[in-house]
Amino acid sequence: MNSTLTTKTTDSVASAPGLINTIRSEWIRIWRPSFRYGGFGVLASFSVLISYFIYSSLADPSAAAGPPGPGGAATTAADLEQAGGMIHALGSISTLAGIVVLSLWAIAAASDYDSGLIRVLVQAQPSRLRLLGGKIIALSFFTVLLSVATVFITSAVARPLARAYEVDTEPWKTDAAAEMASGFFNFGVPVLVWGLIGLTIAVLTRSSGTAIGVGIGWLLVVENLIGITAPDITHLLPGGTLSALAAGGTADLSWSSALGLTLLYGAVAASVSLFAFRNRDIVS
Amino acid sequence: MSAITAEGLTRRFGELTAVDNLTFEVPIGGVVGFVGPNGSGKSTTIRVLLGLIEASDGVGTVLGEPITHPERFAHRVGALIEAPTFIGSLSAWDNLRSMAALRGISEQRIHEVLEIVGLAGREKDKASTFSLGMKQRLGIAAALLPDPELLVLDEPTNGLDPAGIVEIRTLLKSLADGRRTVVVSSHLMSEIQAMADDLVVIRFGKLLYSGSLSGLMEDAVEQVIAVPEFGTDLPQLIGAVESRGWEYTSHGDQVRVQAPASSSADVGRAAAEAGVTLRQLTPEQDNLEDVFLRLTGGTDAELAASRGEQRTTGATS
Repeated sequence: MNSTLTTKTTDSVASAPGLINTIRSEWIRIWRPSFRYGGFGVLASFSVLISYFIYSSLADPSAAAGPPGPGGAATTAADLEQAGGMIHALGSISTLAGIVVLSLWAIAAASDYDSGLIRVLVQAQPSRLRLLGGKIIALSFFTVLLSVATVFITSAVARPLARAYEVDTEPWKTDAAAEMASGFFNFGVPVLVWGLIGLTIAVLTRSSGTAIGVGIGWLLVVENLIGITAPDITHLLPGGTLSALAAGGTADLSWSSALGLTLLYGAVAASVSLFAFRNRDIVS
Repeated sequence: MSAITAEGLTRRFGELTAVDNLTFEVPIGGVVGFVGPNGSGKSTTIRVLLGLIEASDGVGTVLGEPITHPERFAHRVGALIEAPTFIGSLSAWDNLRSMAALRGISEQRIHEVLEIVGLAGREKDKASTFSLGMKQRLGIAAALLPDPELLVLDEPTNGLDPAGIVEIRTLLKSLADGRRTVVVSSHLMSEIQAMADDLVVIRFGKLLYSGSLSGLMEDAVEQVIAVPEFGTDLPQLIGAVESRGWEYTSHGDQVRVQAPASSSADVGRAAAEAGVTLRQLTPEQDNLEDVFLRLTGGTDAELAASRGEQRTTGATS
């Protein structure tokens, strides 16, 4: 066998289109109406519905407590009547938002295989690291926009809901900008990692349906089953860790530990997807 | 320099050898037909050459660059591999804009390629509303974006109606000038025969022929088919053919005379002199498919069966 065959494609050649080109190309596909309206529409709906559910449940005198809130604790009026209370619902929205973003990233990655577009993309941009890296950056930017929109919508609907359910909003004026920034960070980072996990499963399975099924199945079924058999480690699993970070930390997992573990999950997911994409044949 | 070279190119998937020790050369300029039945390894070979999958063995070059470094020739190559693929909810313009952005090509070029493939004016339409023929043309437009020196089109006429096939054929012939090489892969021999200057013929991953179409067609058999008006005249007709020393075969009431098409008048004259009135006198020449079948010695089913028998024999011996 000729020795040149053992040499993998190099990933930094002057004549190859740059990373910026890859991001621009990916962005045109991501910003298509179905993706754009689907992503923003679903997250906006979740923001409004979950916020309404939280506030309306608080108002129900027969309920001993509100719905499960961040970190599994019940949401009380006192929770909302604090600095940052206007985005308190983000903790409850984060898991659903994570599922939405996981699905969007999985669709963005696997639909290239499903449609066969991957053949054209890899032929045009042989540097696969650059190709997938550009996709990850473009999807990250899209996810940041989704997160910003979710934070603002959650904050916006909180005010009329607070008025309607007689929640004191005076504390919300304390460090509002810092609270919003902190809420955005705690919401956006886990959601981004959910996206990376979705993309990784999609690159491995090359099917959006399978990737979404595996992702949601893990979160909703596998982690719950593990929680029954080994409750001590549940908070260290991806779902538990990302929820803990979104909640700003829990009794089981501090904010800093949750952030560290979340970044570790993100790094592992990115590495696995890049390695698999770079080294596997394009047979779709 | 050649457009493509392959030397001992091999690709195995487990125990299956999809591309088996291929050695061939594609010259620069003109249309090159990459021919073989479905499943013969055409697409796999193209993917290996374009860097989508790795070769198990052998070497190759595209535009003088090794296939192990596709980044060196990707900007000089346009490809439509299997079916054209687009995002249906995006317009033709946005689909091409996405591909142009990836290659760092200006939007002006999008106008040019739409003009070339005859889709100017339809760029605002969603790709999902396009007919199969229009999608093929859009796929070719995407492949033309880098103004490639090598255009590789895998089954570009698949699923097209006869009018669409003629359109694509005319377009591809116009694209193949002295500078640009158009490689067209197809299992439709008649299509390749109508447009190709050179051929690479493979079957079961092995090379059967590489060279000019005219060179291969030199082996084409020419014959004149003569059918007497009355079946009872067949012996006289055969006698007339034999008396002139022509080789022939007889099938039912047909006499197939092995002679150039230009000899049909002589055959008619011989029949008349023997007092035989003909109701059919047809000159015929083998087409590419006939030559291909003669080259391979059988149909797909026959060869597949024989391969199966060989494997069975090999396994038991």
